[in-house]
Amino acid sequence: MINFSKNLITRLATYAIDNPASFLKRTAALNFSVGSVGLIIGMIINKNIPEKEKRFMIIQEATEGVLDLGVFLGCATAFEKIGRWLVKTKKLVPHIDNFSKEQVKDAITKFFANPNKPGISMLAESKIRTWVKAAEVGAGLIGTIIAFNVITPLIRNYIASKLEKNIGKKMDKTQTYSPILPATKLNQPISFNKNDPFASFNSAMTTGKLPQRAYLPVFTSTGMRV
Amino acid sequence: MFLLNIIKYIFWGFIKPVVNFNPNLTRQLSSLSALSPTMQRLSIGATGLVLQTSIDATNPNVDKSTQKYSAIRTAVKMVVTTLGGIFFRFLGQKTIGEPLVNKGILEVPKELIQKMAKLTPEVRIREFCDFKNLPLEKAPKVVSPEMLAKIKFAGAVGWVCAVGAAVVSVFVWDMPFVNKVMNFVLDKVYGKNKPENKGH
Repeated sequence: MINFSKNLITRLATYAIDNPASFLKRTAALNFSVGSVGLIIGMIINKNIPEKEKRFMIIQEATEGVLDLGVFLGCATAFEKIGRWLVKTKKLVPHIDNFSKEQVKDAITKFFANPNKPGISMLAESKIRTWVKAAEVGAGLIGTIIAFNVITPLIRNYIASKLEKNIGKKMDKTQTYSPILPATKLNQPISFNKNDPFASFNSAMTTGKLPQRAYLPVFTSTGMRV
Repeated sequence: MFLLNIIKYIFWGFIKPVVNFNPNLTRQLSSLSALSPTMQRLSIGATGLVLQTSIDATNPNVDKSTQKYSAIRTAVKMVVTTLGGIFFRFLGQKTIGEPLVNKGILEVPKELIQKMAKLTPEVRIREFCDFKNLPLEKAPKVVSPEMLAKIKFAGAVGWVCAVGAAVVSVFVWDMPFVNKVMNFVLDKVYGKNKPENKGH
């Protein structure tokens, strides 16, 4: 067992040395998935959520998790390639001691023509290899930031508003909420501002008080889970 | 500062090819190849605090008070999850991962040492500088293959353990505490006037 984990760590570490950008991307995806699964487990063992709604919330959370993961992986991979492309097309060129600008460009051409045996000096090869890795990591990081902090929240807000409208319409037609409220209090006004799941529903169930606003189970985002 | 540098360097690549071939920028950007998961998490969290909060604060689909509430909620969540994430990653990296190699519990793979031995002494010194983000003057006179392989391997094992610690942190930090801390702070901010379940 100890040997197995030693081997595993050694193999993972060797991979990380060779492909830092890929390592960071994959582990961020792993952490994100574990966060999502943890959240779903939390919902499954939460006894305060009624069974029927639980299923809805879990499906929604899982869908959102998969969607976010896809956006993240796509974005990070695309940016990683942009980073590599920037070096390959010589838009980002390193400084190498005792090399003229033309020599550096020439070395980059040779490096990308045959990355395993470029036929350039060892110093230039080492510099360019580190440079490419760094460009991939840097660009991938920018892609990750855009995916998690811009695209995902925008999609989440957009979907939340769509769902809110659709479910709101249905509920207004069928009036299915009335049975859960104490009959004596039904004359009070209820506004359906439907954003968050069951908290107000639950408080109505436990305290017997009519919520000022009734909410529908729409969105349960947790935002960052990396 | 660190993050600004990255963004600056990447986009200057498009608009200002003059910065290319700059020795200082080369060194700074090269050290990115050794970006640890801790720094990665910090970058995502710091930018998320600004970007996600402003996205929620300007969400056109909800009313003003909901915007404010969800923006505060997001900001608090970002701070709490980022601090936890960084703390656990740092712990995994510095107290578990790197000592595993430095105390000899995990052996540096022979292939890696052989790979480093193939490099000329000068290249080894430069790779050492790139890895540690040191200027060439401050580098040690001699960098043996074992030494270079060891710092690279220790760094990478640190990464692996940081990621492992991050997985653990989901269950021991994020799941039990984040909601509690968030509600606590929101109670402090809003007192009893808290809008019920607004935003998310």
